[in-house]
Parts: sequence; C-alpha cells; structure tokens
Amino acid sequence: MTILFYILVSLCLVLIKTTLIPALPLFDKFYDLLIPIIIYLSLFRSIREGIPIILFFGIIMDSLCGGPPGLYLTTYIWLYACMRWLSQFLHTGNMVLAALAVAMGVVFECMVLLGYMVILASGAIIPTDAAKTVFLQTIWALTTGPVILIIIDRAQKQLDIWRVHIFPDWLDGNGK
Amino acid sequence: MFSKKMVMIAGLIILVTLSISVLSLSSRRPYPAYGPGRVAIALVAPFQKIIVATTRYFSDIWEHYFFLVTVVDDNRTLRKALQQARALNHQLKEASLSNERLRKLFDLKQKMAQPLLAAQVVGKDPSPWFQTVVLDKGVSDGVRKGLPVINPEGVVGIVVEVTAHYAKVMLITDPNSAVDAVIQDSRARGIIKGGTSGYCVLNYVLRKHDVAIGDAVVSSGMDGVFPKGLPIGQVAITVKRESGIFQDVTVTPYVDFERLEEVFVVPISQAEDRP
Repeated sequence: MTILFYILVSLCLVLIKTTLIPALPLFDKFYDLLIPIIIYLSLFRSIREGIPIILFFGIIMDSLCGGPPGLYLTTYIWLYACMRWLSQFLHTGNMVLAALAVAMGVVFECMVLLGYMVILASGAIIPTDAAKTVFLQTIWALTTGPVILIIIDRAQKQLDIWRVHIFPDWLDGNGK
Repeated sequence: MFSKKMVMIAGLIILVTLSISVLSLSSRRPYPAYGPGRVAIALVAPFQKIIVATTRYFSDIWEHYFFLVTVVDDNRTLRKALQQARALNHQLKEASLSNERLRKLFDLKQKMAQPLLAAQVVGKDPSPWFQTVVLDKGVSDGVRKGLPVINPEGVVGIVVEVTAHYAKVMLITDPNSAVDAVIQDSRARGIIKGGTSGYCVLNYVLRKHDVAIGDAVVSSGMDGVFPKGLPIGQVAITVKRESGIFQDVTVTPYVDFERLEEVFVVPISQAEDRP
C-alpha cells in the first residue's frame, strides 16, 4: 500500500514537472521533486519499502530524461544510501536539518549529472549557466524542501492510520 | 582475516567502480531500442497529453477573452511585419524561380516534397540538465528512431526513443546533441552542440573563416540525419582567441524551445533523400 502510494505520488510529481512547471517563468530551474521523497524514505522508512520505490523512481526518470539509462537510477541509489548512512548522525526531526538534507540531495544529484557530462559523455558541453542552475536549485530546495517533507510526512501518517484500520494485522513499514 | 572497516572500504570501492562502469557502458549506447524506458513513456505520456491540453485550453480562453488589451498593439505590429514579409516573400519567390532554373540547368534531381508528419509536444524533460520533449506521435504514425524533427522556424532535434503512440525527441540544445552545420554565407563548417541555456555553440570552425554576428547557420546534410539547408540559428557571439586553430562561435537557435508546441517529423523517405 505504501509502495503504491509513493508510485502514484511520484507519477503525479513527474507529470507536474514535465507539463506545468516548464510553463512557469520562475520555475524553469526547479529541482527534482523526487529528491525530498527519497530523503524522506531514507530517513524515516524501512529499506523494504524504500528500495522498490527508489528503483521505480530511477527507471521512470531515466526513461523520461535525456541522459543515458541508469544515470538517475544510480544517482537515486547512492543518494538513498548516503542519506541512510547520514541519518545515524542527523537529528531527523529538525526542520533546518531536513531542509539542509534536501539541499544536499539536490547538490549531490547536480554533481553526479555534471560529473557524467564531464567524465563519461564524450563531447557533451557543460552548460555555461551550470553554476546558476545549481545555485537556484539549492535555493529552491532550501525554501520548499521542508514543506514537501512535511506534506509527505502528514500523508504517510494518514496512510498508516488508514492501513491500521483496513488491515489491522499487517506490520507497518518499520516492521512494528 | 579482514577487519570490518577494510571490508566496508573494499565494498565501497567496488560499488563506485561498478556505478561508473555501468554508466560508462550505458552512455556508449544512450538510447537502447528496448527496455523499461518505453513502458514508462507509454505510462506517463497520455497523462501529460491530458494536462497539456487542459492547460492550453484555459490559456487560450485567457488569451482570447481576457487579454484583448494587447491585441490592438499586436495587430499593429503584425501588420507591419506582414508588409515586410510580403516584400521578403517576393524576393524569395524570385530566388526560388532562379534556383529552380539552375537546378534544371545542372540536371539535379528534383526532390519530391512529401507531407511532413505534424506532432504536438506533450511533455518536457523533467531535468534542467537535459533537453528532450515527448511528442504525441509514435511508431503507429510512422515515426522511427533517428528521424529529424523540425518546425517552421528551423531544426528542432532528433527522435531518440519511440513507443507505439509517443516519441522522445532530443533537442539541439541538449548537451549530447550534435548537428553538422555550415554558416550560410561563408560556408564555414562546424558542429552545432547544445549545452548552454537557450544557446548552441558551433564547434570546429576554423579561424581563417570570417564569421559575423547575425550570419545564418544551416544544416549541412553531412551528418546523415538532417536534410541540407534547414535553418538552425544565427551567430550571436564570435571569439577568436590568441592561439588555437578554431574560433568560438555561439549560435542563437531560430526555434523558441521555451514555447515549442507543434513540430514536424521528417518522414524516412525525405530524411534519407540527402544530397
């Protein structure tokens, strides 16, 4: 049920990112909206739930983006693994740290994509406005990331309540 | 035998190497003919089509009924532009007739103009780092991988992935795109590469060629994809450095990729009919 929920949410976000957001003037450099979900999954949910969702996210993005197959999948897996490792040291309830985590995720993704262009994509040109794009995406992530995390958290808690009502014998995502 | 720390470091090194190897292999063949990507496009594109159609419907209502204030000014500007276009059209007609005569004179094969396949843009790339769009035409409409895509302004891109009813097009502004081009006046050759926001760069133009700002850049037809003579853009900046055999040429594409809505896919018979 949780996996299905995240799949539907991710599809909605991808649709918004590919149809509505490009038409908005200030949002042309908006960051990848799946990053807050990946960070939420890595910080608050179990690996059993996280991995299939991350794989789905990666496949969807790889197929819709202009990059080579596996680029987003690799980025998401590494982002998920790094954030999960970092969660041992972070106080995950703090919103400032959550905003920082989303911004770190965005910068990490940008670095991987730029790294791909520099090292692996022969002949690809680094955009002249790459620094501006990274900066704007980081600002967007810092300002909107916590809001998205709160929305996901609320939705997840509501989903957990419904699940307990509908399937009282099932274990939740954290194995409780 | 090995400490836990050593095993972790070794594991990390193996994973990083594996990631780079997989990406390196996949970037050699960026768009495989089969795979889950096609399923994902087929899954997402119909919804993109619905959302785009709805957005355009409401934006049309706004433009037609609530935004008429600017129409008067637009009308004046357009009338002026029409007069200029008529004059230009007359000149072009003359040039076309003269061209036709010359072609006959040299016994060149007259190309048969076939109808182009019109398609609508239903989705854009979710990443700002890559420049692709999804079209609402696919294999069932005759679209094939590798076909050139144009619009009345000029070259748009190339089809890189196709499903039954949808196709993904890599725009000429994508960092991985490359189009063989010539500067119309000087006939200086180069490769149009994407990668800068709204601009392209024309690589490998020799220093000896005189390139002026405003010069038109057209496809050379030498890349085996785009027919010869399609407009690409105009030269915006030229820089001749102290050393080096090439000059830096920045090109502004004629196509407004921010407002790209309708495009034409050049059918296979025309795409193959190259000079």
